[in-house]
Amino acid sequence: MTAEYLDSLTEALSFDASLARRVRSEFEDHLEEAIACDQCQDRVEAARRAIAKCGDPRAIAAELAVTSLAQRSRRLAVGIVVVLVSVLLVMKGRVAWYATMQWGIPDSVQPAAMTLGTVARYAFATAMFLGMTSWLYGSWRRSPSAYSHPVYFKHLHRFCLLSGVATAALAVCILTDVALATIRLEPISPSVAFFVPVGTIAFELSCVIALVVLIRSLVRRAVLASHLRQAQPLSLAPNP
Amino acid sequence: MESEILKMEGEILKGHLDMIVLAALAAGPAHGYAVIEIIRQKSGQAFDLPEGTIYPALHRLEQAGLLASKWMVAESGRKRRVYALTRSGQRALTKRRAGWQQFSEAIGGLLAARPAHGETA
Repeated sequence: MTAEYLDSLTEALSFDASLARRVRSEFEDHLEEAIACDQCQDRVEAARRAIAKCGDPRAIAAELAVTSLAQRSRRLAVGIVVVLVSVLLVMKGRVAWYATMQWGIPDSVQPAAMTLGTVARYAFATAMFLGMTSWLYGSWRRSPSAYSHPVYFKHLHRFCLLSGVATAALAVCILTDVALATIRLEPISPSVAFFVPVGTIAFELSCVIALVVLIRSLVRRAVLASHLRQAQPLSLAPNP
Repeated sequence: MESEILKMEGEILKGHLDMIVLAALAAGPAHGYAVIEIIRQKSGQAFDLPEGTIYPALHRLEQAGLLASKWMVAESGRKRRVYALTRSGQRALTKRRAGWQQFSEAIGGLLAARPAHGETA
């Protein structure tokens, strides 16, 4: 009987495997303790009572989902800010390197480069604005205790949307930078000095990929946990 | 009517669950089942919470940095997660105790007040 209950709990927590393992172990210990402390001689009846006292596993999972997803969204929010600041510094460094190496843009492609430069600037400004907004929104209310499951999911949906658009804008900015770097470096014969622009662009691209992976993982977990919306919230009514 | 009152009390309790859990752990580290027992005993059996509600609260408080936890092996040989207050948790509990004291005094003052002479209740 307890194994069935624990299986239901683990299944309801399938959106987070490590959390599911931990919670299963905690509840296993809890149920064993509750059965051992029960005065009833009938172990099956004691198990039934212990399970009834624990409540609906889906409702428990719904509350744990809010905590788990809130932790991951805070990590993502911090990740976005760190990536934006790192990319900004790396971009500034690359521009300084171009100036040091006197790698200019050929006159023949100046109009195209200007357009690309404008796109990159606006894309980065958009990424910065949305990234900061998403960080503030994601970090707002450190403790998710005040949220009910459906309310938190609305909050999470908006946060994922903001983070996704910020990351997309950053990707546009970096791809535009790739195009600009190609235009700039195309007439120059390759040398060790190429490592700086190539390395920094590779770093920026890997940062964007990392953000995409984090967002994808958060969305996947949120989708898996979304079925818990239908669970009745745990009642805290004390004994009359 | 009685169920409405219980529902309202449940909502009030939910608002204070974090403080209740922190207070239960003030005496020392404990595992989930022990926390429930402490709450039940110290509240004079008034707070006989659905036991599953404690674990989300423990996880939430741990994430907020107010609790720390680790796996230990019980005398029975079972693996169990034991929670303890962190320094931030102790500070938070002190702050919440003071807040609750002020709140209960204010409510107590209001509820104890008799209608002024000449006023109808």
